[in-house]
Amino acid sequence: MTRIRGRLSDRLLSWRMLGGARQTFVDIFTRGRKNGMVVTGFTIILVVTLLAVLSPWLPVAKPTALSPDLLQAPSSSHWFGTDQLGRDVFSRVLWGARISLVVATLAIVFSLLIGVVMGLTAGYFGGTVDYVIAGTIDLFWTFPAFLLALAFAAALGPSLTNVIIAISISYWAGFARLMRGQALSVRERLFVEASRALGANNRRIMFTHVLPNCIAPLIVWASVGVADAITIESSLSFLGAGTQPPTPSWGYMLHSGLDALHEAPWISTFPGVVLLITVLGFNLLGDGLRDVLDPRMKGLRL
Amino acid sequence: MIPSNEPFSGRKAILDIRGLRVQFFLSEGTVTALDGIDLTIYEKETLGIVGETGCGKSMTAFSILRLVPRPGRITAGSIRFKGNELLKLTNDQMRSVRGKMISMIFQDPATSLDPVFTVGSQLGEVISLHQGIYDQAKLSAKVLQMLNLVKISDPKNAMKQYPHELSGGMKQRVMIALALSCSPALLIADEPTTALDVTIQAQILNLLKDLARKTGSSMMLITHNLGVVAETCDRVCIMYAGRIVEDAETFELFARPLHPYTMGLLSAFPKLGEKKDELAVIRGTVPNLMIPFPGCAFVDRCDRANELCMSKKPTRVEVSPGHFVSCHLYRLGDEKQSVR
Amino acid sequence: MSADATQESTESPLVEIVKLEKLFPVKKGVFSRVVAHVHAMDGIDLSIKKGETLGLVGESGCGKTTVGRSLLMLIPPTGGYTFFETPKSVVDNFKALVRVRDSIRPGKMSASDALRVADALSALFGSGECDIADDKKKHLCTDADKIRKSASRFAGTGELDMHEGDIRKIIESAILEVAKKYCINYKDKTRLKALRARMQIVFQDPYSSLDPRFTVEKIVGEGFRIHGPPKSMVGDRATVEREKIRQIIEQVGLSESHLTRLPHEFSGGQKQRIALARALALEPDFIVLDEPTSALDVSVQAQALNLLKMLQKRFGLTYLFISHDLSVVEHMSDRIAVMYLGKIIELAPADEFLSNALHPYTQALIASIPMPDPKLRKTRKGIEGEVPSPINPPKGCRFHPRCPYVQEGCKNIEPPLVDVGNGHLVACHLQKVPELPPEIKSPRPSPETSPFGPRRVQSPGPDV
Repeated sequence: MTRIRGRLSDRLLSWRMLGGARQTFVDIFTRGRKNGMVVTGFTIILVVTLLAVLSPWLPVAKPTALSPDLLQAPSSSHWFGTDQLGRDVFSRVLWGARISLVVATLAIVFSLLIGVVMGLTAGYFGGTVDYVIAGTIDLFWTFPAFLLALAFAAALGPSLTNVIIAISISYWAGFARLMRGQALSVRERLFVEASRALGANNRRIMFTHVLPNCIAPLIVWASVGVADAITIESSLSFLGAGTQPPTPSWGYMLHSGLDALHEAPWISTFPGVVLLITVLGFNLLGDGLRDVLDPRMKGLRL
Repeated sequence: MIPSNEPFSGRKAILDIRGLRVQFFLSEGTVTALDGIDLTIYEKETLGIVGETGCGKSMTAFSILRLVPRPGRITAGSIRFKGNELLKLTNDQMRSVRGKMISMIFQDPATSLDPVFTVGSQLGEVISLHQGIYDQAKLSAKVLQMLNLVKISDPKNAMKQYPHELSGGMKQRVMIALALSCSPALLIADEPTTALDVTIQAQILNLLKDLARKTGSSMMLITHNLGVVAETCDRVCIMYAGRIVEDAETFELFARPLHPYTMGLLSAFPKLGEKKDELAVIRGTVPNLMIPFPGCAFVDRCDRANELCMSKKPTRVEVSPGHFVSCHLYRLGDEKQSVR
Repeated sequence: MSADATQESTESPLVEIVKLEKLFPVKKGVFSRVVAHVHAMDGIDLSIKKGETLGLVGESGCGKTTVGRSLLMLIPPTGGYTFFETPKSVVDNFKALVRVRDSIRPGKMSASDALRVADALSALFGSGECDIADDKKKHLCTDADKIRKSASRFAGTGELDMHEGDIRKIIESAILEVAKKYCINYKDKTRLKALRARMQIVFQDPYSSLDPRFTVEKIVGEGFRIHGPPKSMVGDRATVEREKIRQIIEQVGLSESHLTRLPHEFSGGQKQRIALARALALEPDFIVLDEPTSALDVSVQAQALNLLKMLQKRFGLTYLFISHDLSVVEHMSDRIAVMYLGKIIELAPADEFLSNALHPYTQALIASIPMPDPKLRKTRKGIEGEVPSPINPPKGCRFHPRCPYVQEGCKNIEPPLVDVGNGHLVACHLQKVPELPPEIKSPRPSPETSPFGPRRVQSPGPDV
């Protein structure tokens, strides 16, 4: 019993240890505030996320609710108009945001988890372990996420879960490679050796010293990765390999609005624009963070 | 105040700095790296600039060559080189000064040489740019001549080598060759031996002294090591927090240090063979250069500070011929009586 | 700070290093073939007494940093034995056994050699001091007797009935047994971890030796996370740790308000104090100081050195002070060892060291140091040549390519480290007493005749 409790508290200790990364977040906050791209990107993401999260409680029509007002132009009752089945485009866009954000975030989170663990292990231990993992990374690096997802859809049938899995499988390699590079350089720093001199074992060094010092570039990549994942999911849904009707998703809406592009351009345009802005937001945040977290000029030599 | 360009012991001044101020404009505030320094270098002499980290010694060198990195700027003062005001030259004119009339050696030879070019081609580039020699054979001959001058063994082979194939001492010799290739009137050496082993350091210092004498150049040697200064320099300047606090001939300075900082520095230096239980310590730390201080920069750490030191910046006074100090303990008008 | 070098110490050394070796393979080519070795340490013998400061000096490539790190098993050595707090008799007898083993040429063991082996084994295991398992001890003693009997039986003819191979096997197993029990570099992970609390290190570069993401409190307290709360205090864990951290941070000259700050907010000197606090938190007996002040300004260095001395007196610490700066080493150390290309070439008490440096390299080192007194300025010839690379060092005496006294014999035979009296050891053929091998004839180099210029160091005054 005590052993289990010991292991549990050790696990919790690991979480506390990651508090070493707290400094990175403080940095992001203080310096990010002054960076235009970060602020813009963050605002966009915040707005979209809030709207997505709060959509069930917003005073708009349900996204799947059919109504007799077919192909109505944008008006005060339907801000973005209605589609061929009378559904409110605005609420469908909002609900579509939920889908895209959830799929993209989950996919990236899974990629991160796998990638970080693999990369950290490879970079920290080196030698044969590194050789094997690096080889695996190279193998998976070659998988194009989009095509893999299509293949999954073809083989296993289209579903969001398959999309998430497909993106994770191809994306983790990028994170792993990044993490490996970072771990390789951090493990050479003197404070790692100092910890070893104190008697720390490998696990402690890996999670309390190496990992928190590697987080910065991961955040940048993660942000850009979410943008990428949203695009992939939308493309898949556009082709019918992702979400299935009646689930509202931006990709599907783009597709369904194609036929009516002349008469009712609003069906495709609005989801397209919102998709564009959201992806832009994540990309801006990632780029801005890259500038912010870059090691600054290392002090002036006077 | 000594009028500028006045020869000391009948020698001409080749570099004359008056009231030089360099400031860095950062988002957090303005750092005054150099706060109005006066400095003179005469012909054929070696001047040592001594100070600790952050005192401004490297910045002085960069200012002379007008290589102050952004966001720093020279905000006041004059730098006259052989009578010409350097701060008024155009970029093109300055470029012809650098390397040809004033050249510089940096501290870390490993990063000062371009790793993708051979030693021979880097030397050749400098020589051809400044002396206009483009004929390959003549260039190679000159390069060989330079390498021989800095006593590199097997210069023919060394010419074809890349920087990473050379040891630290050899790289520094190449740097010296680069710097002296155009026989500059002034050679600035910024901590040239700090990164080297002590036996190699001795070799390089001897080499520098010999070459400076041979080519008749003056040398400005920047270092934090009092021993190096004692061995190689004719005159010494002690810098602290962007100001020059004392300058004098070497023998005079070591025999009769006047400024409390100089005295503290000399006692803090562990000397071989001197049995001491404790080294004398200068209490406190270097002040923050972002906060302007009206009085003497050393006031927080000085055991002899008084009220005047807190409010008024001390002026440079000549206490004995050639021995200048900026400290309220020594007032203008009583050169021979110092108030202690 | 006086060094009782003349009187043989009867107390056990705190740290004993025997024939420590570290070779790094140099790999080249597509298949990473090992083409050469970097001889970082090539048979180092050192003995450090409790409470003393041993200075280790040398230039780049000499291996001094490797010594410190190998001792703490940060770089596991490829050969040799390191002891910590081992009884003196065990250490001495062990060294005797190793010496005997190495003095017998392979294939040429004679009866008298075997007798010496037997004696060494009995000395080591016969007495009660050696603390290995009783049955193993008995076994080895019996082996020793067997060898002795075999040797004396054939004392006349000079031949043995026991195979040399068997005897060597016995020697190796004996050495292994002692090593497994006592040597740091043979300990398993758990015992090594416990030992780490007693031996600590302070690194040269204060900027990278502190984790930039850890607060000072976390840095200093990391040892407690690994080893548990300080044993010298009672109370609940959190309070005790906090109190100890607070104590230590004040002892190194910082204040409690610094505990919540991050490393980048401190100056170089302060960072070194934090590193020192981290090392002291676990109340170690022995600290390796690896160029602790080389990155600091002169006035800050003075503060740091005074602090180190004060702490040593206060806590009875033992230091191994590694540096390339002879002035600093001389100021801090009771005894000084000089390394060159992986070997110790001179070792002497500090006073003796300066007034009577014997090895030509040491003389060159002393002569190269720029002294802050222009009156001592003179034209001295620096030593010629570059600092050599420790890959494939020269044959014979490693210093011979640069030595102004070089003789024929120096190029082939490596000089052993010999005791010339007064606790002064030197590895130079020209110092060897009592007989110089015939191929080496030359007056002994001495400080007066040194080509590196007249000695500038006055003999030290009376002890402070």
